[in-house]
Amino acid sequence: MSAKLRTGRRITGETFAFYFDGQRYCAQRGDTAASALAAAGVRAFGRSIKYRRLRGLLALGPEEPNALLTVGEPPACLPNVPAPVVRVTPGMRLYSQNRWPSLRVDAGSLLRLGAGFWGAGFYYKTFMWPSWKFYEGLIRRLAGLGAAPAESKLPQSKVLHLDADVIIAGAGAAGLRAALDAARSGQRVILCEREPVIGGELSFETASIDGVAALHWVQRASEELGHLGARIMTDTAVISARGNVVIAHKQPAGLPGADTLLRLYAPMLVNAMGAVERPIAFIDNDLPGIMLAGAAERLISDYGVCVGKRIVLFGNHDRLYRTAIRLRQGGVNVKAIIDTRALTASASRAILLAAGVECLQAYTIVRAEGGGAVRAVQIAPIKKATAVRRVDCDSVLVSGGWSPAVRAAAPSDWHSVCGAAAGELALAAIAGASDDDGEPQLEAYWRSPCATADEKNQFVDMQNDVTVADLRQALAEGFCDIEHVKRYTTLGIGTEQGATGGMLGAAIVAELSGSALAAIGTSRARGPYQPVPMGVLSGSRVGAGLRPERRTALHEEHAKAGAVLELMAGWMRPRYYQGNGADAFAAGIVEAARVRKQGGICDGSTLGKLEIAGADAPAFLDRLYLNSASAIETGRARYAALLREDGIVLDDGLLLRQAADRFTATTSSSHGAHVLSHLEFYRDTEWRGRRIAISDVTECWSVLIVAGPASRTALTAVLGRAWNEPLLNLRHMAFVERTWSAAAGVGAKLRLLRASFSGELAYELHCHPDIACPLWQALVAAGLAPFGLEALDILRVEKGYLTGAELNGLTTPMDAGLGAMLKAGADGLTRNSVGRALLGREGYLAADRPILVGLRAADGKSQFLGGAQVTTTTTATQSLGYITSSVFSPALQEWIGLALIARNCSAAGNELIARDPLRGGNTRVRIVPPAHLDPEGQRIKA
Amino acid sequence: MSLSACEWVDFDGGDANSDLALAIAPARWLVVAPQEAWLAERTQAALAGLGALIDVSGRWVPVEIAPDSPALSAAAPLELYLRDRDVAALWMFDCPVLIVRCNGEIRLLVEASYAHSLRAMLARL
Repeated sequence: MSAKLRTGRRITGETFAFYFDGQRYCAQRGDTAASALAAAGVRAFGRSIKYRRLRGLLALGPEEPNALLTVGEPPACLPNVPAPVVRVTPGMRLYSQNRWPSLRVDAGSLLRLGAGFWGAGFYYKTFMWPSWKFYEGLIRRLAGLGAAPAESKLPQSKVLHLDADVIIAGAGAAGLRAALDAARSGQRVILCEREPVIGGELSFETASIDGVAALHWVQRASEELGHLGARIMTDTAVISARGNVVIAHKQPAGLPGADTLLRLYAPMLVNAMGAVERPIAFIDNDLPGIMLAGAAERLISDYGVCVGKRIVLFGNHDRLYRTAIRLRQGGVNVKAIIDTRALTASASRAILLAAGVECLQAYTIVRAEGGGAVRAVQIAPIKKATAVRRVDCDSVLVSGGWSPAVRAAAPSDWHSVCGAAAGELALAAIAGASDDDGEPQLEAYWRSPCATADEKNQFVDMQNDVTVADLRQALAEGFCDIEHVKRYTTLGIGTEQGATGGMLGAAIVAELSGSALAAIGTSRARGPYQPVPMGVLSGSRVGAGLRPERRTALHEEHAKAGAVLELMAGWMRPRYYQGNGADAFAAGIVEAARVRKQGGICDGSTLGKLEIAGADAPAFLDRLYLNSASAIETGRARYAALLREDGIVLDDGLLLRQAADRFTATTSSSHGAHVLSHLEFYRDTEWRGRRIAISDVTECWSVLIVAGPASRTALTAVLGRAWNEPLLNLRHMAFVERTWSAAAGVGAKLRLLRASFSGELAYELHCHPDIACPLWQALVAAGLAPFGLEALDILRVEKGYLTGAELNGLTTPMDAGLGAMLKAGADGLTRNSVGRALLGREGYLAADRPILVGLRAADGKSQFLGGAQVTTTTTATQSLGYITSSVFSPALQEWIGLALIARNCSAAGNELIARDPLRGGNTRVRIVPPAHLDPEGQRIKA
Repeated sequence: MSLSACEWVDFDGGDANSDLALAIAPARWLVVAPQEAWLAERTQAALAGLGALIDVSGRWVPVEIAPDSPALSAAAPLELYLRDRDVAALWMFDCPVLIVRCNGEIRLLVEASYAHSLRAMLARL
């Protein structure tokens, strides 16, 4: 452990201890795990995913593919944290990944012995005998990056919405220049920088900008932006952009725990995220000690870390020489510079030559040598790769150029791209610098020549252990499109999404296939731009905040009555009442039987209610519903259904006519918003300009459903004398509106509708929510016991009535037994409405099209359950349909159900088999009409 | 307790003819605690076919929130939404709300069935 204090732009002199793989190390305040461990001489940070090769640092940002660490102890550890990102804190415990039992001695490294079997797509061709299951356990233990934590102690992250005139991603030279231009012109600016300090590569740049040293210019820019009201957000990475919205992730110290997810809105989005340096492939280019040149520069300038004592630089542009000069100024011994280009006019090269540094042109590194770390490289002229010479070194800094950082959003989402992100690499052009490196004069060079047999050790994508051999194999097997190459070889997947290896891989694919790089392209990177904890993305949607629970005005009444409330379609609804049975099955039977024998009361407030008003409302509804709305008399209601454009039933409900130009349409509880949207779509497009107003009044009306033989008596007792006449004379599907008030309460409007979903004499009371509770209490006191959804389901299946189980998004009105709605009207004309036109399609009329039937057990007692498939025999593999609903009927004392069965097998009396292998057994069933009970509807008409 | 309120939906490009009307959607206004005189006038306008008057009493309930509550900036870019208007209809923590700026204060109205969840979320933040 080094005791010598380092100096660097991001660290202070305060020291403390931390732990890596159980060993104690020293860090300085501001150090990242990468800088602190590199300062201590640590070379290996982990092992690779497939071949378990030792790996060290390659890059110094979230694009780092190798050095992914686990932070903390199980069960609440944090896996896959890039070492260059996490800032070390006192006592922090860090662990390498992909190794067992230790980083130095890893049993998995034996996999290299069978490396020939683990080529691209090996899992499609192996592990088949005797079966995949035989190998699955072992493969799962070996697979993946890091181990998922068993629990999380992370606090809920924050969410923040901000708006500005300009949002700039990246606070390097280009971003700062853009921010200054915008702020000086009076615009509100938000500048996001993923690092803890702004300036980007200016931290080691020796050029001058506006006449001052680069770092001094950064300081002045920051102060001026502050005076102009610009908002600079460090530790804040832009992870996605779309339209005029930027999503950014603020994570201080590079570790989850105090995260904020930001949604930033601005009419102008600027990408100044710079460029990502890329490597060059040569044999064993993945050894620890081989890293990108920019990473090494940052380690020196920001953290005072020298990555080696005998360094070789390797690349294809002029900036290598400037980098070498800066490294030497930092005390580093540069042994040689390997330049793949034949010529260069770099003035820095001349300085280095004069200082005795070997600078080779048109040379390449053929192979790296070493075990746990690089100790030498073999170099050769590019045109004579066999003339190999060995150069001792302990570090190789590679730079194959830069790929613009444009993956955070589609090109069309950025209003402006500047600096290196736009391919501009000369600081003078970006920020008006003088005495800078100038254009780097880059000449493309992707990999060193080598024998085909050695291509398996030329690494292209280090995180996924993808080699040149894998790319060649993919092409040979016909995967020519870069997206197919990606999926077959795993090039560009994982946490770095091809940031370092993507362009390299595409170029090598182009070389191997004899195509132009532009024709190959790069694969699509998936957002977010850099890894984000899932908990941050969920924001406040966690635990009780996951989704809202809608409550009716009668919620407290249900709770007081011992209801078991469950979330259904977003509403908390009583499934059953505890006093009636030990579970839903038992209580449902008791409650349903009580309704049939005496009566009961149920909360129907969740039903969707839409009010449609205006002179054109009747004609509009005629076009949307199968039934004729305009034929409904005022004060009457009708059961109605509406279709999608393709003829499938969208929903059913009631249409109530309140006046010549005013209707209320009820919908099923889960479809209110959908039906509203459906109606609004047609009003605003097909019938634009008509006089039609549609309002969602679901919340405005509580609905109390009273059903059973005693319902009328109870209502008479509660509603008062003024209601005697309508209660006596109200016909089925008629309604009246009066005022009602509780004993000491203010009167409110009450709509009494005679309608039934239970098959019993029943009424719906639509009332203002403020009188729902006193009305409910009065009716319960009058002898109507509450019943829940379990009982309601029994009652409606007994009658063959439909719910979403039957109207499931696949059924036509003919399938669901609603064919009567399609008949011609009294004038003999068949009406036209949305969806009718496609009902005549051949597929809807096929002989095996499903139709709604009732089912009973053939023996009159066996059970069968919803979801069971129906076939002709116990061994038949062709399903004729399935059971949509099944209940035990207290009225009939046997299991009954509804099913959708192929028409050509649906004759009443047919016996079929209900097959239910997952829940046990086969049941012989008999087809009956859907209305199991009181098919004539005598009880409703009581 | 839910609010007494009406919606005026205009068919002819007019407005709700009330200083208290909240423009909650194109050609749609919400008037909370409407005066009888306004109701009578709008009823006549509806009879004349100029629009539709719909009673939405019970739909909205008020929710108390401090103007500097972190919940506001966690829910939406309010400065952006209220830059050119005094009322915005939006989703706040998956609850449909109306945000109304009145005399420099921010007021929230939420659909009644969501009130319990929204209050719980605001308390958590």
